[in-house]
Amino acid sequence: MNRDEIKMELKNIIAEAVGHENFEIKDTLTQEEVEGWSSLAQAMIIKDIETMFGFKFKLIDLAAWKNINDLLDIIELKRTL
Amino acid sequence: MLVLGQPVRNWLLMEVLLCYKKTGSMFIQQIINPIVYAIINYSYQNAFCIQNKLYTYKELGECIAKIRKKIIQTNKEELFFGLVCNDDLETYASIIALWIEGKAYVPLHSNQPLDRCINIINQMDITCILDSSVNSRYYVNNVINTCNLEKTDFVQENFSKHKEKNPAYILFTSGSTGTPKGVIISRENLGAFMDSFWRTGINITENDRCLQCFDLTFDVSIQSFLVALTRGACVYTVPYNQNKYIYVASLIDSHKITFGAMAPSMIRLMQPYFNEIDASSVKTTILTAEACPLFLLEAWAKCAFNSDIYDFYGPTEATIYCTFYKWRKNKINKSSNGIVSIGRAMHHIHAFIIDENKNLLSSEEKGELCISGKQLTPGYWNDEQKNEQVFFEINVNNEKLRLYHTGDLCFKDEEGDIMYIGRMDTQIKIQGYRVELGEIEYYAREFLQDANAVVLAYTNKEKITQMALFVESEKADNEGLMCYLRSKLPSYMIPHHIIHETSFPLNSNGKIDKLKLKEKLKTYE
Repeated sequence: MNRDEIKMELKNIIAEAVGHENFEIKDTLTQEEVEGWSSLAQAMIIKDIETMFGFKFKLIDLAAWKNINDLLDIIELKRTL
Repeated sequence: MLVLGQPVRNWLLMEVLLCYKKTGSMFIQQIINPIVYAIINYSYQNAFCIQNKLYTYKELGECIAKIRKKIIQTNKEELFFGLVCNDDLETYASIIALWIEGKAYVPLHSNQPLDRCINIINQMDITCILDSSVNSRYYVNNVINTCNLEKTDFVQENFSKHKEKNPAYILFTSGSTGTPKGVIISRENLGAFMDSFWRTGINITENDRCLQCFDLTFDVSIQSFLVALTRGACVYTVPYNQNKYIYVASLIDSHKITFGAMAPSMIRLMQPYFNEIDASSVKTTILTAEACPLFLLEAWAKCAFNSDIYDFYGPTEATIYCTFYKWRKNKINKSSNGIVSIGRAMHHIHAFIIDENKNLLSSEEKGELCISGKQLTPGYWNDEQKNEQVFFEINVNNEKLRLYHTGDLCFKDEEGDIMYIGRMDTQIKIQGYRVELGEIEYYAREFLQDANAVVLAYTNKEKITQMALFVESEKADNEGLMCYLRSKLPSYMIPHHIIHETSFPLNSNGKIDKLKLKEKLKTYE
């Protein structure tokens, strides 16, 4: 799965957690820009990403993640480990 | 103007200490005097850590002073001030400044829909708002930008403007009619709360680092900062634009937090990362705002292995908390259906279990928990109907007591510890916030016009409470409905799913059969 394909999967995961698709999945997208992306939605997104890609996030990964670009970097790194 | 040299400082300390004896006010004794004492005595110690920036007690004192000066210049008569709640020093200093000036604050959440905040402003006839935002959302009223005020030194004065029966704050909670309802908390209530709090045995000193992770529209926030500021400790806040549980875990680990109140749902979100968090610095934890599963408390106890752990319970109407249970390490702890006991009443509270005819019940008998005492609110703002509904008087041991119906189903065990069973009505807790399902239904029906709507809560696979909105129609403009709900309600009140039903099942009384509807939620549970 390449970066763009991962990005599209992320869009589905985020849409499922926040209950709508009213956002454009772009590298600079932050949590604040998506309506309903609460701490709870965040926990659901993390769990779905972990299930889909078969790894576990560390707390330090989550603290460092500011936008979609950061998240994609972390996912790609984790998938190579 | 006083210069805080050592002799003057000593004199001020004497004055503050004497004030304890002079006044009979618990609000002054428990809140104002200790904060003034901390500002003077711990002036170069940290009062706040906000977004990784530290502020000393001296800076807090100066910030309070500049806001007080503006309040005095602007409005001498108004009792209630709107306060836009941002995560900054000015917002916290505004609360203290208003209290010193004999005023009360009404929190307006900066991230909640403007319609909801305007509704609160209109209900209270607020004409003056303290706002530290760069661009205020409010144009109609007298808005004081608290960031742009001239620096002023903190000065000690007497507190003649204080009236014990006057409000300290009014918090608006979810109301089933679609209109938020205001709970008045008097200075006497808040002073009594602080007195009760210190009698639980919790001890905080000027060396503590205390967590404040609650929105200022939620009353546990008041406990979180007051406990620290009245002891000269440092308050560590959580910014609004952060994932709270990740930020809190980082704060505990990197800033060596020693004391904190947290909601069990937040602990639940942190749980997968317990082995990555060094929580050895935590010496006291309060779990509050919602029912606490025993397994979760015990998991936290292993992570924060040096911590005493308390489960505190309380409705806003009884001023933050009214009962508590102290967890006993390496002993059997009390619980009912896996939920930790809420323990016994705090010092200024009486807790009774009553039946539907308002008779007191014996131990082990299930009934409604009703609360009385000095922490009990004078009532709801301008809502006599609600006041008559939820407050009542009974005679106990020849004493007439005013009680509050909590709506919580409980029983006391033989030793007097209270066990929480569940709600008696349609009110639930989401992420610690009190939510009337009826308020969501009200706005859903308003949008849907002809279609019926029911909101039900369920526990998802991660053991977190969520809500589903059932709509009685084959289809609807779901996107439009969600947008409308988001424009009217705070984010924690937005349902997680919309489920369409051609017609709602009815029970034998002709009412909507919510149990049958709930069966449809099993796939989410």
